[in-house]
Amino acid sequence: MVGAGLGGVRTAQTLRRLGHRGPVTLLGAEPSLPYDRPPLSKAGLAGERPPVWLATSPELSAAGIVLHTGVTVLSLSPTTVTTSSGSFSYDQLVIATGAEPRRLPVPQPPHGVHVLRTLADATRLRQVLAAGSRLVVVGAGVLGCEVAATARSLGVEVTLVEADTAPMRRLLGAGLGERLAAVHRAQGVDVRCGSGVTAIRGDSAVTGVELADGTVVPADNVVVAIGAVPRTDWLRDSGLTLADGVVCDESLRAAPNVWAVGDVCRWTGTDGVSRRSEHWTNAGNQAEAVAAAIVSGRPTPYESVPWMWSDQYHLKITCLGDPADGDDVRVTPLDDGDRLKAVFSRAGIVSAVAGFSAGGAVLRLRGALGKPLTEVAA
Amino acid sequence: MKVAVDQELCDGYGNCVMNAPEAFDLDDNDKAIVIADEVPDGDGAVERAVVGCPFNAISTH
Ligand SMILES: Cc1cc2nc3c(=O)[nH]c(=O)nc-3n(C[C@H](O)[C@H](O)[C@H](O)COP(=O)(O)OP(=O)(O)OC[C@H]3O[C@@H](n4cnc5c(N)ncnc54)[C@H](O)[C@@H]3O)c2cc1C
Repeated sequence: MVGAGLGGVRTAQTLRRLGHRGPVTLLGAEPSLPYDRPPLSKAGLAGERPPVWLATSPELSAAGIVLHTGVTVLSLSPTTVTTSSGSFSYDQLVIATGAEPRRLPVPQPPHGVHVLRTLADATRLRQVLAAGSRLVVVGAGVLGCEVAATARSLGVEVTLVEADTAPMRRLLGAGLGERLAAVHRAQGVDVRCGSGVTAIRGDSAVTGVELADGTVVPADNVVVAIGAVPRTDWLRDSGLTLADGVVCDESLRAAPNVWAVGDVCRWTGTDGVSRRSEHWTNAGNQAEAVAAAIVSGRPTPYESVPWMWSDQYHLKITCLGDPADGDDVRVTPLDDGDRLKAVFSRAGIVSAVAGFSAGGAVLRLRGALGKPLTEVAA
Repeated sequence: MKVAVDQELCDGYGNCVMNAPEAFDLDDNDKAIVIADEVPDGDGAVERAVVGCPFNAISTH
């Protein structure tokens, strides 16, 4: 396994659980034991929860999994990987190198601009989120919204800047995105949509963020959360097909004996659509599918229903299925506050179900995906 | 075997319901609850729910 995040670790663990006998080696660039990323923008960033380890050293050795931390893989041949500390030969290789934050393509001062992907990033960011300091979060996707919410809960003055018309619009559509903007505003976040960032001001440290409409938002710190790019740089000369991820077939195979799982994997669904997911559940499910294919020697098409969640303030936002731009959305409030469920449909067929603090209600509708909307009770 | 969810650890992410809907549900407070008194030993879906819980809140005995 190249990459010791969720995808790599879960593949290794599942190989053992399914009875794989040969040596299992995990190569990871990060210095620490493998840990879970979702808490890094939530309770972990607020300092309320210690890191959640994906596996401890005793667990790994009991399972017969060899983990090399601090080892960066530099290149791949059909039999060998070359790393920053020697080569390793393989019979089966699983690519699980995840993704890295996209950088803002504007000049920026050396201090005060942050991204959030690793435990080290979260530890650094936590130290500067002092109550009363001014933070601008660039990008109101899942990650940016969570960082804004957590920083706000720490008493930070937060401005959330988004070039699109509403937070999380790509995932949830405009209607729910606007409701979410209202939630953030009610918590005291200055939400500014429809204007991209043109410059970050400051010589040695950040002083402000300049928007396309000419306004300048003063800031002590900036978090850039404008998406992630799959980490395929080390595969440039491998002969594998790369196109916003490692291109795989229906069973997550990139080449004979080479597989990809998690954020780095672009696979073709059984519906013929090419996809890449950046969600926790998908990384775990793909890891289990690949481990099963390796142990059984029988690759089968990967099938799973997309499932994601996000914690923002008192709300747990969940989404099941594959919503798309232009879907019809039917929203049902579940109380006088913010709780709701929403059914997305395309040409009368249910494409997704989302909820604000309504995980149970959303999951109970999983049988409705792909069915006519008329069959779903309101 | 029997399945239990530690309600203190559970954060309601619902992965267990996705993995093993016959054994788990989420209640109105978004906490996982066990809905099967007994599941078959080595039940693959429940095993996936155990490892697929982000907070290791599920145990079997
Ligand atoms: C802050 C944050 C919050 C999140 N919250 C949620 C959430 O609430 N819900 C949800 O569904 N998803 C969430 N996600 C997404 C989820 O964490 C990812 O989908 C998941 O981590 C993907 O796992 P992965 O193994 O593919 O990649 P990663 O976890 O990124 O692991 C890849 C590993 O490979 C290593 N690596 C990269 N290149 C090399 C190399 N050349 N050699 C060796 N090692 C290498 C990296 O250092 C890294 O450790 C969140 C992500 C982040 C960053």
